[in-house]
Amino acid sequence: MPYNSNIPLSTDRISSSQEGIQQNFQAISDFIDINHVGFLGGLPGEHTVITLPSVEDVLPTTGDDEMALFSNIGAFTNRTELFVQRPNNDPDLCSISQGRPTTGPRFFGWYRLPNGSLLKWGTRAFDAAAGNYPVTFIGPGARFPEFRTPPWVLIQNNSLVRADISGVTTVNGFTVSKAVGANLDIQYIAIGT
Amino acid sequence: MAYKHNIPQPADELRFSQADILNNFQAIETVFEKNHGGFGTNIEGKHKFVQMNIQGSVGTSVGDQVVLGVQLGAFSGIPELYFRGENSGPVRNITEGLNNTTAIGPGWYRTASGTLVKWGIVYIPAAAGTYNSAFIVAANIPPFATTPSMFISPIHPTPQLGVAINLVNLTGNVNNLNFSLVTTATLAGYFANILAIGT
Repeated sequence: MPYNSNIPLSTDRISSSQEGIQQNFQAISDFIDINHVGFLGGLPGEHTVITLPSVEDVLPTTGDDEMALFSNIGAFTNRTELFVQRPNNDPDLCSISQGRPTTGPRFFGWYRLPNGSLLKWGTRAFDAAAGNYPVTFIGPGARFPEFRTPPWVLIQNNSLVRADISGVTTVNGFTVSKAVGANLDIQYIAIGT
Repeated sequence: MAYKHNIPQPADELRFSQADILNNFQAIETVFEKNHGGFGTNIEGKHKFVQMNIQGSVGTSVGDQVVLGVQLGAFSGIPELYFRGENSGPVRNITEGLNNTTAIGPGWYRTASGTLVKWGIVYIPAAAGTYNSAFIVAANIPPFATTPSMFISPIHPTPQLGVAINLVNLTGNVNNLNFSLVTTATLAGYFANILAIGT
């Protein structure tokens, strides 16, 4: 029987209300048993797990000293992801589970840290000739968010051919200045917002 | 009316207790539906979301429990979500950190495991030699407690075709990055981006 929040009525006798009251106590116990340690368990009221069905874009509100955890469809993954809402309904949501993991040493990926920093990493191969070569961050695209400000970048050479970051880094990419030499590719990591 | 946890009394007759019992059932429903799917819904007892306020103290974890909560960030000064591991282990603010808004940083983030990641820029002198550069520590940037792992990536202020800086012997301690500049660059005033991972 469902929970009934409208019993007992003032005209009820205990003989007529008893069953409904008992059903409510059972419904309360059943409710608490979901995601929580039940009345008869150790530490009643604490959480066993927190299951978060998607809010489907109806975001929770937060006060001055309040934060909220919730799940919603990730804009870049198109699947349910875990998010944090900061105090006072800060629109700069922090995504906790959204990102694109890589599956090997020569792939592209990204992850947004819970504090809001965006990490992107990838690789770029170069011609043998010395030169200044542009490196473009993957995205923006359906599965890659775009940096809003020029990120900090670090590169790692995979050969003895010298290469440095050069020029001005933008939200779209950076430039690598390399010496003469074949078979150079670099891996990079960029951190921004 | 507020929830009453002391009703009914043994001597109560239903006509006296009825209003209180009714009130309590309504109060229970109101409280349960905060943050939770309500009675009889397809998500009954599950969480629609979890709102957490700053409390007077951080939560304790007994045995293999872990805790999520909210406290003021020591470096951000704003409410942050924290994680605390089993047996009331260290408290880690998992939403705190400094986001760099320019290509030179600085920035930092501490993972829930306690790993501190810092990134930023250091100056590279024009002459070959051995140098050190202090990790940035400020009111909004925590220090390392142990010597971090360090990575460095030289930068030319303007594209310099085929010219590269050779940095070796990357070492350091909790306060400094040490490095040796082997090849003298053709221009002074270079910088390098550094990434340091420690605790």
